[in-house]
Amino acid sequence: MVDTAGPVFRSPVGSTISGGPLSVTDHTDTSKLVVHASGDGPTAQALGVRFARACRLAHAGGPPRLVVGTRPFEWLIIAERGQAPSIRAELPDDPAASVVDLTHGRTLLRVTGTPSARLLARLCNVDLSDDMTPDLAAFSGSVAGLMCDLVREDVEGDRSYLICFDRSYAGWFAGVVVDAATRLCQEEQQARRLPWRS
Amino acid sequence: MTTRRLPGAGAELNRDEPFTFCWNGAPVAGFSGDTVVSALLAGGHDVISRSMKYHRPRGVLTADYWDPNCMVQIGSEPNVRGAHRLAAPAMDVRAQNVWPSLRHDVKAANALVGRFLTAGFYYKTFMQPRALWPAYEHVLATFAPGGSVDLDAEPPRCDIRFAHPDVLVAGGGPAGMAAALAASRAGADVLLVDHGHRLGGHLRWGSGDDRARAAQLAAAVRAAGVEVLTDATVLGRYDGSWVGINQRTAPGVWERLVKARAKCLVVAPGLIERPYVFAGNDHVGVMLSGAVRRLLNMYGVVPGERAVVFSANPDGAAAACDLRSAGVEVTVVDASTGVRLERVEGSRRRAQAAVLSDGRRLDADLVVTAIGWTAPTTLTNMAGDRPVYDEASARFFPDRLPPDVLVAGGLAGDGSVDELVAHAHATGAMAARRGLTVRAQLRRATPRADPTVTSVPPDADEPVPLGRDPHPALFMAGSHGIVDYSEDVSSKDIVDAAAEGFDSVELVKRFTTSTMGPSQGKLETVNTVAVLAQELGTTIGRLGTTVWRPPYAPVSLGALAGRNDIPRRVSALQDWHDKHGAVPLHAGNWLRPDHYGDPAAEAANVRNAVGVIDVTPLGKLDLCGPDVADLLELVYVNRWRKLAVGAVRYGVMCTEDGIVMDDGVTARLADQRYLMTTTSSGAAAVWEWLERWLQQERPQWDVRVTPVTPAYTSINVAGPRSRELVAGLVDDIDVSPDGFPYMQVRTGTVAGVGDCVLLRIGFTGELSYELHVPAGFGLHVWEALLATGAALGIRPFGVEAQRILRLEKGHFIVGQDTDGLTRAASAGLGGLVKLDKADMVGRPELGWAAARTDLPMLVSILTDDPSVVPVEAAQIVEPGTNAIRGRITSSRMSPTLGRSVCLGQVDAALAHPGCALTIRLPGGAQVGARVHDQPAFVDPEGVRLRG
Repeated sequence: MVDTAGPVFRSPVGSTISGGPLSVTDHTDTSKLVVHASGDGPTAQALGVRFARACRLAHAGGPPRLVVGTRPFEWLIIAERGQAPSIRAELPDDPAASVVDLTHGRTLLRVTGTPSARLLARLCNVDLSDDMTPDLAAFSGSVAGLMCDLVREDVEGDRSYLICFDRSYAGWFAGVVVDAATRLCQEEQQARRLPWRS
Repeated sequence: MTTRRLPGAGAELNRDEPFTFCWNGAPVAGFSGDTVVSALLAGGHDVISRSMKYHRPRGVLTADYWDPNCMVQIGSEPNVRGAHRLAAPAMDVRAQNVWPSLRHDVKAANALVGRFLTAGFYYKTFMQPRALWPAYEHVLATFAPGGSVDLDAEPPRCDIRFAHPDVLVAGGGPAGMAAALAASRAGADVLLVDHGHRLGGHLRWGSGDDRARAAQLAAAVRAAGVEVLTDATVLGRYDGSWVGINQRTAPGVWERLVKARAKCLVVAPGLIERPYVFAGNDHVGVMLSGAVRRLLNMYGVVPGERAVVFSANPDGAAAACDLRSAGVEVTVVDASTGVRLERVEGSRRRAQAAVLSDGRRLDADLVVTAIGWTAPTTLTNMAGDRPVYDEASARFFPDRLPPDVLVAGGLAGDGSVDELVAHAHATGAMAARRGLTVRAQLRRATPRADPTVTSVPPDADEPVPLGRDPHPALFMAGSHGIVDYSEDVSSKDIVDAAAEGFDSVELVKRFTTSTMGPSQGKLETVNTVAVLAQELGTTIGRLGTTVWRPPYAPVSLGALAGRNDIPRRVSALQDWHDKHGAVPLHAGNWLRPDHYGDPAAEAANVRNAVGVIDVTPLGKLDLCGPDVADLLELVYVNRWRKLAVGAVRYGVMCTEDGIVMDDGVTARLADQRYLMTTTSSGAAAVWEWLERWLQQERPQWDVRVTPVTPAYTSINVAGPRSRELVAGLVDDIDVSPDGFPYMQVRTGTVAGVGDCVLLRIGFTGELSYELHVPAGFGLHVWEALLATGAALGIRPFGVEAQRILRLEKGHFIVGQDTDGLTRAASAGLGGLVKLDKADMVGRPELGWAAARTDLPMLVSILTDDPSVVPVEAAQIVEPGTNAIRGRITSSRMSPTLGRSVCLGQVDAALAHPGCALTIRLPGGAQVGARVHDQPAFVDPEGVRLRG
C-alpha cells in the first residue's frame, strides 16, 4: 500500500537497546552533509573545526549542529533533519568547496554508557583511552570490519560515541553492535557475581 | 590402586562441591577445583592416554598445561589438555585415538613393527605402488593421533577484543605479579596474562608460606587496578609489540582472541621443568618433581606409594619432602654424586623399579626426576633475540632485547622469591617508564589526542641483574629413552637422524618431528639439542635451538576466526522483497532479489508491458569540481569534454595494461557536478582508482569524489509502458520523447519526493528510466510505482530477468563476459576507444591492441539446436582434437525468442559472422553453433530503446 499521507522517512536500523548501563540508539533521522574544501579557504574558516576534532556549533535556527573534522579537507555536519538547505545557504560562496547531502546515505548510531568504550574495544582496534580519544575527538576506524566515522561526544557526563557509516550495512551492523552490547552487559554482570579468582 | 586422594589436602579444591563426571563411560568423582586428570588420579585411573605411534600406556608427566600425556576428548571437543582443564559435573571425558578401549588398545600392535616406524619412516614408506595410495591414506588416517571432530555439533562462539596497555606482562607468577604491580603504581595501564586458572605461578604448589605470598601479591595486583586475564596464553609477539592472547575462560564465549598493542612487554613465564631421557622414561608413574608437588599440594592427590626421587636441585628435595608428608616411602638419589638413573622397569601398566648406574635396583611405583629447567624464551625469540646457552646454569638466557621488551623471573636469572620479586619490581618500573614514554610520543603524534595531557613518565633505574645459579648439565642417561612424548620420538631416533646426515637442529626437528607436537618444544627442545650435540661431538651452545615461531601454544581456528560476522548490505526495499517472495541472490556483500518466482515471465513482462527492478547496489559516485571533465577524459576510453549539462554518456574504464576494468554511465547534472555509475561489484575499486589518479598522479586537479551508492534507492523502470508510468508520478519533469530523450538526465520530484535524479538509459534494451531516489523515501517511491503501474501491467523483476533481457540485447557484463585478460578491442569496444585523445589510462596498450588481428573476440552465439542452453564456461573446441578455441561466457533461454542465446569469447579466426562453432558440454557431448551476425538478438536497431 502506498503511504498516502506522503513520503515517510524510513531508517534502516532494525534493533536498538536502551534502559540499561549501555544504550544503542538510532539517530539516522538527521541531516548529514559532507563538505570538501581547501584547508585555508573561507569554508574551512567558517566551519572552524580542525581535523580529528568535533564541535557543537550553535545557530539561531534550532539545536546546535555537530561539525566533525573527519579527514584533512573534509568535514561532516550533522544537524536536525531538514536543515540541509539552510546549512548549504549559510556556508560561504567558495568555488573550491563542495557540499554533498548524505542524509540518506549514512546511518548514525549512538552508543552511550560507562561500558561504551569496552563495547567498542570488542569491535574496533582504536585506542579509546581518555588521553588518546578525549571528549569531542573524531576518528575513523574499522568497527566489526566496517569502515566508520566516529566521534566521542559525552552526554551529560556519560561516555558516548556517535558512529556514522554506510546506510546499506545498517541492519546488519546495528545487529552486531546490539548483540555485542548485550553480551558485554551479561558478561560484566556475571563477572560481578563470581568471586575474583586471584 | 597406587594413586589416591589425601583427606583434607588440596589447596585448589572446594570439598563442599563434589560432583561426578564420566571417564570412558564410567563415573568418576571429583571436587570443584579439580582438573580432569587430578580427579582421575584421585580415583585410581593412572593411565590417561596411549602414545602417538606405539600406543604405549601413558600417565601424568608434568600435571600441568604442557603435559603431553593428558590430551583427552571432552564431548565433541578434541585434544583437551586434561591436566589443565577444570573438571565439571556431567562431563563426558574419553581417551583419544584408542581402539577398542584405553585399557586394551589394538593399535599397540604398532610396537611389534616399531623398527619400521622409526623417525622419518613416512619419507621412505607408503610410496609404492601408487595405486595403493588411497589405502595408505586410509591406514594412516586411522592411526593419526588426536581426537575427533563432530561436524554436526553447533560450533562454539568465539570472540575478539582489542587492548592498548602501556605494559603487558606475560606470566602471573611472583615475578610477573611484582612487575605488574610496580608498573601500575608508576602510572601505567597494565594487562597481566597467565595461563593458569589463578595467579601465583610456582608458589601455587609450594609450601603454605608460598601460597600465602602468592595470595598477598595477587590481592595487591587486584587492588592496584591491573587487568588480569587468567586461563589465557600469550600466543606471540609481532612487530611493534603487537601481541595476540588466547583467552580461554571468558563468560559467554568459548575462546576470545585479545589483540593487544602493548607499548612495553614484560616476559615472565617462569621456567619449565625438563624431563630426563632414559630407558623406560615414559612408563606410567614416571613424572617430574613439579608434577608431584602440583598433585599433592593443589589437588591432594598422592601419585604413588613408593617413590624414587632423582634430584639435582632443591625442587627435587621439596618434592621428596612433600611425598614423605603424605605418607609415601621415598628414596632420594642425589644426582650431584654422579650416580645416574639408567632405566625404569615396569609392567605394561606401571613403573615397578628404578635401576641406577651403580647397579642398584630400587622398587618403586613412582619415579620422580628433578634435573633442571628450560627457559621458555619463545616471546623474546619472536622479538628478534637469539638466546645464548649458559654452560654453568645449563639453560638458555635471552641476550639482546629490543627496548620495548623486558624479562623478569627465571628467564632473567635465579634467586630467592624475595630477590626475584625485587628484580621484577624494578623491571616493572622500568617497563612503565618505557611504556609511558611511548604513550606520550603517540599522544603527540595523534591529531585526535588530548593536547593538554603532558604527563612525564616517571624515572626508573635499570634493574640490577639477577645471578645465575650453577646447575648440573643433566639431559640423558647412558640409555635411550623418549625425548618428545607427544611425537613418540626417542633419543635413538635423533641419533639415527644424525647418522643419516641431518646435522642441524632445524633438520633434525623436521625429519624426526621432535618439538613439533602439542607442547611445541617446551619439554623437549633442549633435550633434542643435547642429544644431537652429544652425537655430533659439539656443544649445546654452538648448536643452538630452532627458531620459536608463533603461536606459543596451539590455538583453535575458531579463536583465530573470531566472530562469524559476514557483512550484509541491503537496499531500503529488502523487506518488501522478502515479503513478496523474492528468492535472494548473494552478490558480494549485497543481498538482492534474484527473482520473484518466474524470471522468464518477469522478463517477458518487461518486453510487453513494464517492470521495475531494484538496482540500488549500482555504484554511484558524486564528482564535483572544475576538473571533472579532465578526470573523465583520463579514466574512460571515450571522449567527455563536450558532454553537455543534462546529458548522459556510457563509458568504459581500462587499466594501464588496456584490460577492461569497469563500465557505466556518467551524467552531467550541473556545470561542475556529475553523477558517475559503476558496476555493483566495481564501486569500491573505481572509487579507489579515481582517488589514486587524483592524489598521486594529478594532485593539481580540483575534483572532489564522494561515494553515494547507498544514498539513493535506485530503481530501473523498463518496458514499452514505462513512460506512461513515470509520467504518472512526476510533475516537474517533461518525460515526453522530445522533452526527455535517450541518454539524458533530469532532476526533480517523483511521487512527492524531491531531489531525485532520473536517467533515460537502458540495459534491458527497452524504453526505460533509471530513478535515483533519496534512500529514506525509496520504499515510498517503489510502492507508488507499483500502485500507479498496476493498471499498466507492472510487475517487479529481479536480477535473473535482467540478465536474460540484457543478453537478448547482446550487452556484456564486465567480469562475466570479460576477464582479467580481456582488452577493449576484444570486448567489441574498438569503436568506443578514441586513440586520438591527448591522454588516457592504458593508451599505449589500447593502441597496440587495436592494431592486432589475433585477439580473442566477444561474439553473440546461437546454438544450432535452439533448445540447448550451454552451461556458462562451456568450452568452444576444435572438432576432433578438442583444442580449446574459446568459451561460453553468458547463456540463457530467451523467452522473447523462444530459443537459447549466448555470448562467448572465441579465437579471432572464428569470430566472423556465420562462423561455425563446436561447444563441448559437461559430460563430453558436443553441439554445433554459429556466430550471430549482430551483437543483439532482439531489436538490433535499438528502436524500442530510443523510442
